[in-house]
Amino acid sequence: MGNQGETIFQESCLSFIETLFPDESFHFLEESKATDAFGHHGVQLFFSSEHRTLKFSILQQSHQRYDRVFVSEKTVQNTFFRRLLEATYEENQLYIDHVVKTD
Amino acid sequence: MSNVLFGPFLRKGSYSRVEVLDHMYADERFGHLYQEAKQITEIDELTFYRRYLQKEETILFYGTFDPRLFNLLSDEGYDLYLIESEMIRTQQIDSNYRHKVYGWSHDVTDVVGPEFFDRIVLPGTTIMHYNRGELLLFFRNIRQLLSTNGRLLVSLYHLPYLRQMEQSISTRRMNKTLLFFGHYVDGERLLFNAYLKSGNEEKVSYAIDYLYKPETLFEFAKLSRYEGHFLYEGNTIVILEFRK
Repeated sequence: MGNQGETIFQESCLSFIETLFPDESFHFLEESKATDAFGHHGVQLFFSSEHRTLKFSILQQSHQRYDRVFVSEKTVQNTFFRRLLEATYEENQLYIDHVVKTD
Repeated sequence: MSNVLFGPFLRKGSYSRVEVLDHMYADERFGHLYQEAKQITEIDELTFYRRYLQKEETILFYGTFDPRLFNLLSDEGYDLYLIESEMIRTQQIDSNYRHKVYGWSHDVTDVVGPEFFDRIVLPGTTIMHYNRGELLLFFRNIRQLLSTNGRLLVSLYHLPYLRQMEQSISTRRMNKTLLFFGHYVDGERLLFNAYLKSGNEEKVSYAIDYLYKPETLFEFAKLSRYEGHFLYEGNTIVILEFRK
């Protein structure tokens, strides 16, 4: 994802968030590129509102038809993030794949 | 291309009509074939995991793992988690367990915290995907996931078995697609090549593994303060366990 692609992705995330949380005002916090413990590369984008921080983790897929996106949230009451949903990013649009059910 | 393809696969790859894919999972048919080819046949994985894993432990799988095994063991009460970056390999995971499937380790740590897992299991010969530099980093980095007395389980091909295996090219038919695949030992590397033909469509792909003796893994692991030992020594594979 180039610089222009990253900007478009950021805008897609904000648009997606506005749909999920229409009553809250979010702003972009930061972006980080990282390699995980198993050697996978990914990008994380953080967005924040008065009530919560949302994290979008993006992993490229080998087939390159779409990227895989995990959305998690952290509120002031929680120490750790809680996963909300898994999505795909395809042609500048985020699509929900499934909502994460927790135990 | 000549450093990743061999023999008939190299010839196919040199034709302009044949598409060369740099990743097996770039085409689902290659992905399925690769997953099949990399499964260990000498032991029954299900029986092995039932004997080896404890239900009260938290277990993280990473690598080429059959989703049906994940579902079955989870149904039986094993507390399994999975890290799998490719979405097409998680689609058969039962919806009851999808929340325990992650794309990469940062998300797991952010949700469950550090040093959460009693065991990390790399099924098949996943450990062989790492070159030496990556392997050193791997041993060091997964410490943050393993609990204080956590254990890591990996399997390696037995080297003499690989020498036998590389002699043959196998075929498989999936619906209207004909696939050929084979292995080749190239110095320290094990090349897996595959070719498919379906109508006018022709593709070649490859995967690279690295050959290690168990002793090499023990030495590498020691640098990150693990103690390694043999759990099983068979004709085709060895299974090693490392204690943190």
